[in-house]
Amino acid sequence: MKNRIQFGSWEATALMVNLVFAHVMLIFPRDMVKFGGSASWMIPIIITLIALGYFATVLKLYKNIGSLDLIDISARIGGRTLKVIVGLMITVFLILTVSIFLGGFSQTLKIISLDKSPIEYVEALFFIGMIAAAYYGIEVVARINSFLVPVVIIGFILITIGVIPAFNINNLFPILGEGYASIAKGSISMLSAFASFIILFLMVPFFKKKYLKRVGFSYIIVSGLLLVWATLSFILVFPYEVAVDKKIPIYQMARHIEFGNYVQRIESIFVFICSICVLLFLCVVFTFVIYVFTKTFDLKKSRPLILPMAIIVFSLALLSKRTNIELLSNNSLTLIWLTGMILPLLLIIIGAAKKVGLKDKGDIKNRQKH
Amino acid sequence: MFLSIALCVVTFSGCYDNSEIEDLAYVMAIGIDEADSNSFNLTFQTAVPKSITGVGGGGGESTVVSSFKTDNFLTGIKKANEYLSRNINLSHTKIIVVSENIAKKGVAAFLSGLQQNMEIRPNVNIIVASEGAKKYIESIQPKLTSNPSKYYDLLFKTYQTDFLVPSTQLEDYLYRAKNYGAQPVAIYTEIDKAIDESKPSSGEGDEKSDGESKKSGDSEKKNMSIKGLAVFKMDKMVGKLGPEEATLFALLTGSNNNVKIEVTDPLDKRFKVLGNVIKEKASSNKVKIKDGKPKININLKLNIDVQAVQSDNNYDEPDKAAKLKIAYEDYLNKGIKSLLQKVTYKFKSDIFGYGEFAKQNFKTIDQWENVKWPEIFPQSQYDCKLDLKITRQG
Repeated sequence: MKNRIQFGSWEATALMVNLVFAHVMLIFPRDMVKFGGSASWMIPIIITLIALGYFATVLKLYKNIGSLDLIDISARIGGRTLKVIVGLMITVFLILTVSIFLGGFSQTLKIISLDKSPIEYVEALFFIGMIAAAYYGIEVVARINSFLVPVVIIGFILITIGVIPAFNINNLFPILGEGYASIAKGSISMLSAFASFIILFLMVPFFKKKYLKRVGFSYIIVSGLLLVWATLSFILVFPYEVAVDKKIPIYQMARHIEFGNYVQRIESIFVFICSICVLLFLCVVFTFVIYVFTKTFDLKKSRPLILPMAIIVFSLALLSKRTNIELLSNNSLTLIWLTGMILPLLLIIIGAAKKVGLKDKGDIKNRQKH
Repeated sequence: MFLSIALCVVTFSGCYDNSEIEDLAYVMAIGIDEADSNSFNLTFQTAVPKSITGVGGGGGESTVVSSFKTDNFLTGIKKANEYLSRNINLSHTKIIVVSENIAKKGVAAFLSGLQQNMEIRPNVNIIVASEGAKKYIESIQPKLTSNPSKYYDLLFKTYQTDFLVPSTQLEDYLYRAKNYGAQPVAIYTEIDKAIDESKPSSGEGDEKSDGESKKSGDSEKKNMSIKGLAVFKMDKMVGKLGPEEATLFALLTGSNNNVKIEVTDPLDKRFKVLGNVIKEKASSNKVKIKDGKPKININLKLNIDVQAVQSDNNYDEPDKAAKLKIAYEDYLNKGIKSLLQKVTYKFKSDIFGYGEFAKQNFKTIDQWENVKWPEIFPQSQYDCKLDLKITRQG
């Protein structure tokens, strides 16, 4: 399946950053505090450094892979069988991701704003957005991300600037918080924030390999800065004893903003930017569900898949709601989240060893000789 | 097309939950009073939007006070919903008042339940009323404005409440009540005999009154005012601070860096000098623990802007300014020493939050928790250094 769709590195970076940023909007800062206590701000720094190391390694390996995505790599490594296995694994992973986020965010919205609405109604609204996104395809979704993600990030930064008067430096002590072991455990567990790497390696054919380095590093650095700033500002506002009980961290911070009689109750802006952020997240992941499934089975048309897949996602989201919102931060799910980093790494290592990307060049040279 | 769908999703999502202002009862103040053994009286002061806006004539009372005997907060709200035939909404609540009797027994259970409610703001002020919560709420009929919300905003910004500190607010109160680094305080109110508010003697009010008992009730309503801070140890009230002590407390903790303090005129004891005391950012607190005892160094750098002198003395002159400086030093040294002793050795409650500074001496949370700060705090030794500057003479 050849890709004629293309977009630039800016669109790709914005799309990728939002995939990490959606975690910040929901539960990420609180989970950091659970692991690190007053030293929670160290964990996003560590996971960003790990992500940088991971990507630098993968980038070197990608020299032998060309502009192939994960589905192509698996096809070149193990033929159609491996392609189907990997394609299905990625599809299941992405369906789980989008379902859990749809359920989690609908719950969040119900808690903070739509307390009377049935959860099915809240989910249905996002369901419509996801279907529309999948219908219009990856290029449209990427281009919309390119101008809405900066708006979301500016909104978030304004909220954190607004709470600067409430910062208390004493909240950062004891300096090592819960201790080295807990920080290390949290750093591994919370690497899940970068599970979206899998989408980066599915997107390579859309923006060409020459931009992979730029997109990858900008995505990690911008996302890392946002993760660090979100956690740091959260722990500076709330002492760790209080922070661990705050269900929706950025919303809780926004409730603290008050400048005179005019700037108050900024949390309504949070609801707006959070809704946009999560809607974009759901649209991107769901669009890739359709893309991966279509590519895995070499289907000519993808649109007939949209509604059935959406119904599966909707049903799973309703099921996840019956557990609770903590599903997003459940430690037992960490391994599933880490699939987003481990699976691409394994495929890229094997693909690089077999030099799957160089086969095309070799074929071309042979053809030219004849 | 996609963008319009996305925007519809975001903007229409609230339609299901919309509610008109007339459908809700906005609670301005919540009062908690002691009742029988396992129950308490819950009082709501609810805004009357019609009277506030003046629509349809207005003119009536801008708030309604109603009380319900209940054994838990949720049941109380249900009763209020039924009685007022509106849904109770706590998003505009400004104060939570508890009676002194309840405060002495512990209030965290009531307030924790309240904090679970997403509507309630984290900056709601906690007030302890010596004469009972309902009595206090009834006494604070908004004056000079028909808007009760504005009245409360202004109440906490006035000169009389210069000592108001953020730690009297709900979120900070609960943090302090459940943790060891700092202990809670709340605003303390009692009858103030110095206030005499008079109304025109003739008119409808008198005609409608029911006799002597009503008149005496009105008199009590007028006389409640903020008198200082209630000191807590965990969630139980253990004592109170007067207005002067509360002002020094605000200065020490940095919660109010700009307070007005008056001292006896050093050159004429009959009069007073009023100064605006401004705490500089260079002021600092350092806490070290030696042999299991906290050593607390307080370094206060203050600028005093003299604002009013009752006598004819000219404090522009360097000699006289030096005497005024000594007078302020004496006042502050004595006041701070007395306050520290009272709170540390009598109340044994770290309302200053020196435990938060003590955390800097420990690397991990386990190490900090093992110190058991509330147990060692009463053994604290203080070293307080004052650095005063008379910056401008009025």
